[in-house]
Amino acid sequence: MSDANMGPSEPIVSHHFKDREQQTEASHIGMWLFLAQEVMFFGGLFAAYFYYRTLYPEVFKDCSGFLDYKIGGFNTIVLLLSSVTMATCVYFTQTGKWKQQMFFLCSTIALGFTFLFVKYFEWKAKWDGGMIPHIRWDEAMQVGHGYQLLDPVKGELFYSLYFIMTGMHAFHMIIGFGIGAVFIYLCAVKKEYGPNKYLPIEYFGLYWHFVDIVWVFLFPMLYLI
Amino acid sequence: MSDNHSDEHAGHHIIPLKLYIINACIITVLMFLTVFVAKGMELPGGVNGPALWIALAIAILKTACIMSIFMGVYWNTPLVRIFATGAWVWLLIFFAFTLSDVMSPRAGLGTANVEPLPGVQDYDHYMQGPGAEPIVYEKAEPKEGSAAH
Repeated sequence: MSDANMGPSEPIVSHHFKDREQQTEASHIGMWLFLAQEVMFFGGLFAAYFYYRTLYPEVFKDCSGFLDYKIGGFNTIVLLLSSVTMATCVYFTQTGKWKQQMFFLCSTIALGFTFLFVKYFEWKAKWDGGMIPHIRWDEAMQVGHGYQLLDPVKGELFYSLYFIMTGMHAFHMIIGFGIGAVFIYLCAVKKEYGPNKYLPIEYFGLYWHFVDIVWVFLFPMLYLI
Repeated sequence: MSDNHSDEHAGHHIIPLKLYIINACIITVLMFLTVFVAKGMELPGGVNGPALWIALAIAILKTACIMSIFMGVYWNTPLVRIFATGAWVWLLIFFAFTLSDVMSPRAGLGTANVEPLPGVQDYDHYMQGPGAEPIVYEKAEPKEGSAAH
């Protein structure tokens, strides 16, 4: 059974659009343009990674070995699950089921927090081992924690890229929480979204899936190869 | 609201839940395959061997799954599809230009057993920073018989 009180009773079409289809397509293009510039933003970081990996493949492979791929794999599954729950949340908004919509929205946010929680422990281990480039890069400390790098000078380059890339990814997730946990959640709890108004949730979902895509590339590049 | 999971809603497609689950299963299997290829198999070719290219190919495949099903690009209008794929085409061009610099044998960088061109310093020398000898690019000798204009 659908919830009749979800969202506006009739679709709202702004006066400058011919109909709802045109309005939807225009806003879709706007959202995809935003995601395209996000691709360009992360593209610069990925290009830097590939550039230096081509120069120092052995050093990058060696440094990658000090990242726990089991933790990275766990986080990949967490993010993938959050993508499923987000897509399901959009589905239940479109079909007008409020309880399910709220459940899957909260699940997405909880899984996002889980990812960041795991990431915190990963970064903390690197902090304790003196593996933070420019801030806490200490070779004696690294050896003490079992991080015997092949080339500590070039290894610093790998870890600079690691922290910048995973840091920017985490920053995007935190922004996602800003939109998701605060704005979307507060509107959804008031039943503002429904079959006639679901684009804000759908666009939050697109952003969330994009964050997942970035991790799909970060995981093999930093942890596996 | 209808429970028919594949109905059109005001010109917008509602993607069936079953498809989300199948898609998630495919992506999970691909993730385990990447881990198996990178960590569980001893593939020849060293650090730039097939494991690298298989991992990247699987990542591209997973991205295609996420974009087409979770992000609904498959059901979107052609114009939206152009914008969605255009961003990745731009990225490929960007990578091609960046890597053509560093992977070119003429650059003498990042490639084993290739001597740098005369007068071109290697990357480590360049990274020595201030005080190091400047990079010298030798002028090509003019061919015999060619006239300067």
